Amino acid sequence: MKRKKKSIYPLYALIPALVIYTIFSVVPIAISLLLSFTDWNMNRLFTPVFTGLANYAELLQDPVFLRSIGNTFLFAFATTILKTGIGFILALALVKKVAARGILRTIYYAPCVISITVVGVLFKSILANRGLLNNVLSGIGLEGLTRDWLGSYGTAIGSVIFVEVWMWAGFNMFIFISGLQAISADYYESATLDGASAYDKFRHITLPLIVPSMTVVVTLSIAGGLKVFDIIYVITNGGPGFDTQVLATYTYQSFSLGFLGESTAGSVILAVIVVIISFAMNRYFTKREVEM
Amino acid sequence: MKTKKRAGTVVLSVCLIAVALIYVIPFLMMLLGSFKIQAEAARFDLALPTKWEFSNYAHVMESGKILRGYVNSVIITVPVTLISVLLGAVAGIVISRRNDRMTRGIYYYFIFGLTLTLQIASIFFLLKALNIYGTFFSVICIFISLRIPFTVMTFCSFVKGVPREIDEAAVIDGCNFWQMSVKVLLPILKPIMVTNIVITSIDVWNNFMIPLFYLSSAKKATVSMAIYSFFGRYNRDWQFVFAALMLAVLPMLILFVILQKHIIAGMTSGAVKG
Amino acid sequence: MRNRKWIALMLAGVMSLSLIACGGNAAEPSVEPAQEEAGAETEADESSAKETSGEKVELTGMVQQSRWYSGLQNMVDRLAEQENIYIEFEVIPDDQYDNLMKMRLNSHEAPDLIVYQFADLFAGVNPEEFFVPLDDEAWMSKVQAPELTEYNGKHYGYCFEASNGFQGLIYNKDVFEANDITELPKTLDEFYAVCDKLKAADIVPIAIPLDTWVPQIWMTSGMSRALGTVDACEDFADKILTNQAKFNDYPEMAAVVDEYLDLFEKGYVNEDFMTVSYDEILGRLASGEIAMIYGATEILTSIEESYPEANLTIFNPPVGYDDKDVLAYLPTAMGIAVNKDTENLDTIKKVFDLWSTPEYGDLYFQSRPGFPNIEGVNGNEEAMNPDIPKIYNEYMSEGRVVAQMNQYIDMLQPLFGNTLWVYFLEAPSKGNMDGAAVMERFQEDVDKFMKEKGAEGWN
Repeated sequence: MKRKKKSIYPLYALIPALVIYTIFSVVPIAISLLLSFTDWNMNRLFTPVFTGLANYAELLQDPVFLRSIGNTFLFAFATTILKTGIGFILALALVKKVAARGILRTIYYAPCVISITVVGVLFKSILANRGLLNNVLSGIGLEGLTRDWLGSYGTAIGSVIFVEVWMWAGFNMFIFISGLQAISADYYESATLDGASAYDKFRHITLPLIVPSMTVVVTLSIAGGLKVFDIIYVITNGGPGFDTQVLATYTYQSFSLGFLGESTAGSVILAVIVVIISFAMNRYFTKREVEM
Repeated sequence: MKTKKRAGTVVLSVCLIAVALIYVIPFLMMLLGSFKIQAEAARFDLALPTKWEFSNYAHVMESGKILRGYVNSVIITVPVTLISVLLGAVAGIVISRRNDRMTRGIYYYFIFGLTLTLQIASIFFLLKALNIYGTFFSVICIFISLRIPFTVMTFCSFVKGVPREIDEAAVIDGCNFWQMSVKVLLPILKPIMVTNIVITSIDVWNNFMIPLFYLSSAKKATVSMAIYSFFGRYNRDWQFVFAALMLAVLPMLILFVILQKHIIAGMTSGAVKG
Repeated sequence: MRNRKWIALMLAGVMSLSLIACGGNAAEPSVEPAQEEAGAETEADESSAKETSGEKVELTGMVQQSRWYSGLQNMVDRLAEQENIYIEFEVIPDDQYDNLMKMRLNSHEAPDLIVYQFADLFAGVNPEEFFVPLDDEAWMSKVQAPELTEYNGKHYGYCFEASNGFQGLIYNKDVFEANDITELPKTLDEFYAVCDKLKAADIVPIAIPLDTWVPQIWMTSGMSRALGTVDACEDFADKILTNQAKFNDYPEMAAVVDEYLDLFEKGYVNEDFMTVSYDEILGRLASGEIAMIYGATEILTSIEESYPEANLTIFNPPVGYDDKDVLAYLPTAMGIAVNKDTENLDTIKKVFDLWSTPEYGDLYFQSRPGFPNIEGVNGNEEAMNPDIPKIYNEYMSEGRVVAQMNQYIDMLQPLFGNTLWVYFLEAPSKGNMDGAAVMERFQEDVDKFMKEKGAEGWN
């Protein structure tokens, strides 16, 4: 009660962050929201005309757009599960004292240090029909497995999912490692005294106590996955055809065509989806933190 | 029992190393490719160069304006990193310590930013209206606003794990908010600061869309933009592309390797008390 | 821990090494031949240059990465050396270029100089609003192809070349000879026979990469050839662009696409066309693993620059829909438009004056021969593949030429790369569309695009 009267933590200290964030992140999305109801267009950059829901109607009739929604969800959920799972497994392994632990951690983290342009160039060449991957496969007698990885929908979307996981599993590993290290050794010791098996310890100590890290990882992964743009853009650019188009690349394409109104409508739809799903996820996990 | 355990560790290590080798392949291809002659580099394999062409780097440095790119990247990355980390720290302290209805609202307002995508045309519109288009200032502001949600989130959760008694003791000693933050909390927050410094600088350094769209000048081009002058359409000199990519990636790789051990420490308290 | 330090050290080592390497070789870049030549020309030139070049002037410009030619770079470098005029060109990825250019022009934030393909530029941007007319410049009288930069009777740009040449099939002569193909095919059947022969010898007859601008050449030249004359093409474009006709009102459009799709069905095309890069295709062409690739003379010149040892040339392939044997040429050329907002117009005019002299103009063609737009400039034709002028003159003198279709309907240019060209790869890969279906789908895009634009005939 006393604290509420006069906190030593001044609200005004939040103002700089709030101002910059509001002007450069919130205002633009508000502009987009407004302009998504207009015929805004590259040739009429400063003279948009109100058209109501026309852009939204147009989008929802476009099969490529609908397909891109499906791809967005597929990508987001597949990568979230894999990035979280693999990151967690790597963390469990590397929290132990294994050989060359430091170097291994660095290597697993390194992919997310390099820029996406670089990743695109490298993986396009690795996955090419005569790329490194196929050369290696036929080199070790697995000719049957060689294929044109980016040439058909299934392997193309699989490939981008793989690359995304390659990039970010190490990042998640770091979050999990720090979470694991923070779990007090006392818990494990007393459990050992009680005769608990390794599985019991994992199930009843590690898992519940890692949930907060899990919340961070899953929230970041799902939001990142739904927003995915650059990795698709640099590796498949939505191809083959329009098969691997996701919401953000679709939006970008209408932007390239100069259809700014339609493009902003697309990004508003995307923003709504991301907000709903990531907040729902966040709530779900935050609740579990309490329960467990 | 002990030998069994040791055998398990060995198997685990071997597996981890095997996976790590797969992880390294793309890097290796880029590194080796950057020293090859044109025909060999275009093959995209892991063979050693028949002749080590160190001059590829010289050519790239000379013609790609990489050095100027470094300077510009630093001009953008350093202030963005410092300011977003500082603002994030202050916001994190205030929000998590007050923890009332109002600050919780503000917290979610910041977190909302994590869900936003880049509004290229709208930002352009805005910068024009504010009359700051084409300046380093505008790009720095955009980056800060993009990074703030993440820094606020991580600092908030970290501060929650710092006992309140520390603050109270400092206040009793006669510190005001700012003195307490700088003298007492900042040293404690060092790990999460390092984490944010690394993540922010990597993100800003690598981003090329924002500088490309809003700097509008060759003189202000960053490293990530400069490497584009090596992707020709009609003939691509992959050895130069690889060398340019190496030069673009190296500073961040070095920064990461140097600061790596602090990152774990930073996330430790941060994520767990989330 | 020690390991980590070691990695850091190693990385730092590589880095400083590259810095040292850079310092050591700094004097080596490609400007050198240019300097020598300059010295030989006239000494008077140098001294006058010193007099006129007072203070350092800086100009700004933007250029697509694929058009950042070494020739242009050399011209820019020499200006800096001799005139103290520095042009800072911003090199921009191709796929972002149009947007950035339009956004900047519309908001008056564009640089002084804008490099683009003429006259394509005028499809996206109204020159009267944004660019400086250059009609009064002395060099205009020496321009070979003034129509490139013309808009409503005025001229809005400086073009380096008079034309990008013509389109056709680039082929590896050694491969043809090794397979006893001594005569170039004159009919479609002969052409198929050649392909079958190559295929039987385990050579891929025709290569197509995933870069959509390559396969589209079949269609952009084919559609014009199918219509047969310049008048017919202009009439067609006029109707399409005013909504008086649809693409499928002209069955020959679908026929062009169908014949292209036949190539895939007959197995003449490489199987990995959805993923193989253009670079890789060039390597295969040079090594003789594939025989032909659709391209243009400009592209042939570039390939010859990268693969000097390969024995390549070009011919106009026979097609079923063109019995008059017409050649599709490219009435386009890279050039520079001047932003109306510039504060350095005098300097820019001086730059163009200098560039239109052989001293500078020749630099452009040093490593890539071409057809100079300015009289007196040496296009380095002796280095050009002799078949290029031969074919060009043959068709030109008989009047059997049309421009590529993209030229006539260039108003739709923003749509090409994003829609139509993608369909050209999607159709053979999925087998889900025939020629008529492709054109139908593109028609829908056109309708939507023109409606957005508020074009006449759609509202």
